[in-house]
Amino acid sequence: MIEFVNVSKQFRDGKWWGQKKTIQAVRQVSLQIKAGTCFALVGESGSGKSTLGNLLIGLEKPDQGQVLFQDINLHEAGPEQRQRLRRDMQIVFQDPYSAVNPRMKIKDVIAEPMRVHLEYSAGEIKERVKQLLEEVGLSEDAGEQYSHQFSGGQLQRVTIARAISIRPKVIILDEVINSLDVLVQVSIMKLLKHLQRNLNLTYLFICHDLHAVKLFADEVAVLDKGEIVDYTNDVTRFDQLKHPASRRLIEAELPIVTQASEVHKQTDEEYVVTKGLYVS
Amino acid sequence: MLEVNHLSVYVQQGTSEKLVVDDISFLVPKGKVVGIVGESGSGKSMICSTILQLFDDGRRVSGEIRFKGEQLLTKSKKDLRSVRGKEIAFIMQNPMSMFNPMLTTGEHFVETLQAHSAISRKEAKIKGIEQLARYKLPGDRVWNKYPHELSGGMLQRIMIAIAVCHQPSLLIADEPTTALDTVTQLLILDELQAYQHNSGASMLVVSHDLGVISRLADELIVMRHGMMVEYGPASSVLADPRHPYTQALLAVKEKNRSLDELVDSCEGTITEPLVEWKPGYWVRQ
Repeated sequence: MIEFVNVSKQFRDGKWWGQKKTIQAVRQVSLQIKAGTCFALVGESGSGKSTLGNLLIGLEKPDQGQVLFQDINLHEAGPEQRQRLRRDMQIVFQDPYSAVNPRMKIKDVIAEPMRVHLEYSAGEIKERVKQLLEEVGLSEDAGEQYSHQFSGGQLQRVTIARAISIRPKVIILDEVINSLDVLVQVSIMKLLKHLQRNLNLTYLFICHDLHAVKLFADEVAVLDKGEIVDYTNDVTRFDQLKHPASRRLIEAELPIVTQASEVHKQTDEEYVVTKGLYVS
Repeated sequence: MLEVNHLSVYVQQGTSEKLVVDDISFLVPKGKVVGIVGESGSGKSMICSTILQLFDDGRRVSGEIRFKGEQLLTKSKKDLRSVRGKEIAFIMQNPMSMFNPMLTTGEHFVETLQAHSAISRKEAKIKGIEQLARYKLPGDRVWNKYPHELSGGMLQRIMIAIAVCHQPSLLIADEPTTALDTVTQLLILDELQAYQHNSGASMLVVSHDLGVISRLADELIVMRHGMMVEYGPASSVLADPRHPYTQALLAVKEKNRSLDELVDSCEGTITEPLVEWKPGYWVRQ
């Protein structure tokens, strides 16, 4: 359904004078996402996972390679074809407060994609907003409120309602649960799973938390410095991931340690931090 | 070291007052780490900022906070200044917004060092770079950098280096790793642990992530709606939690659980009294 073929993307470092540096954000990435599945992209910050999401949705253009959606090259399609393709793809971001216009009522936030893409009458839109609010587990009067009146988890439900309002085929979930409380994360993941089953959605799940990936995704690829360095289609078997970047993520998973002293024991008298990740 | 007795905090909301911290009592013994875990709005950060009184008007506080036997809440502003940053250090959640964007790392360092000791700028610089090196940071390279030129993880490490430069005997860390990605998070936790372990300081850590807390804490407080629902030795709380909320939090972190099995909310008001279930282990049930 979605295919990245040898995609590369460079950014120029934003200096106005002096030496210009280029940053290779994505390097020769090829991957395929099957319809109806959830494909997870994991990696440290700066590994290029969000750039891949932006390339898919069309916020960025690749320097090399192709992004195919239903066998059509997204970045060579004409304007009309592109608008149709854009309707099939939606994105949900990490921080819902910056993704929602604070001056719009929630009902208008949810209705906006329908106004852009579909020719619904005012009555139809009203009816549909009501239905969508119910679908994501919000009450009907939530539509009359503004974004600041919501908690992070509730507002993330709003952005999900907005994303599914025009019945897309693909949703890009860019760190959607990472800023939420633990139990709210679970409830959002449950909602997304439920919607996936009902609406036959395909997800690109961008995340840095392998534990969430294990609960939520079908396949996972690990990105490091813009390259895919590891892949598995069995998320219950992370031991198959051998690359150092994957090991780093797995080690950072922070399981519950029942004895705090267990951690101390691993070291001798002087506890020294050896991993100088930032010393370049 | 730190003793909090029957602390309640009310926040002014319009014409009414809202109770955000409801009768909390706990103890941070010398050389121990106490962890507070709870969701957003449970009052955990309120406790931290109340200890150092990092707020303007609009809050009413009752109860008492004792640090090394001295009452903190009745101290004058001048006396408090000699405690803040020297005896008690504070590490906050978002390093990006905690640094002054107009000052370089070095200027932050000098400011902190000069606040509590008579030291010249030159000496402060030598001391600062030494301190940065201790945290595996290239001191001479970051010294003249502004906050926007550094990554979040790097800033958080600098914040820790600055916070501990006066060898505080109590370190308060309010969500020290929440704004960072998981790999950096581990690094920061290692560093906090290293400091605590090597200096024998006490620490109060706040997080919504039980994984973070369990790594550091000797004692654990679980909070909900401004109230303590469970308080005891971390090993017993984590091995056999009594309160349904703690159980739900722990289940999320367990291996081999499917999404459908997990509880996603723990609603209802708390009416049960806090009782001592075992010696040193309180729970509402």
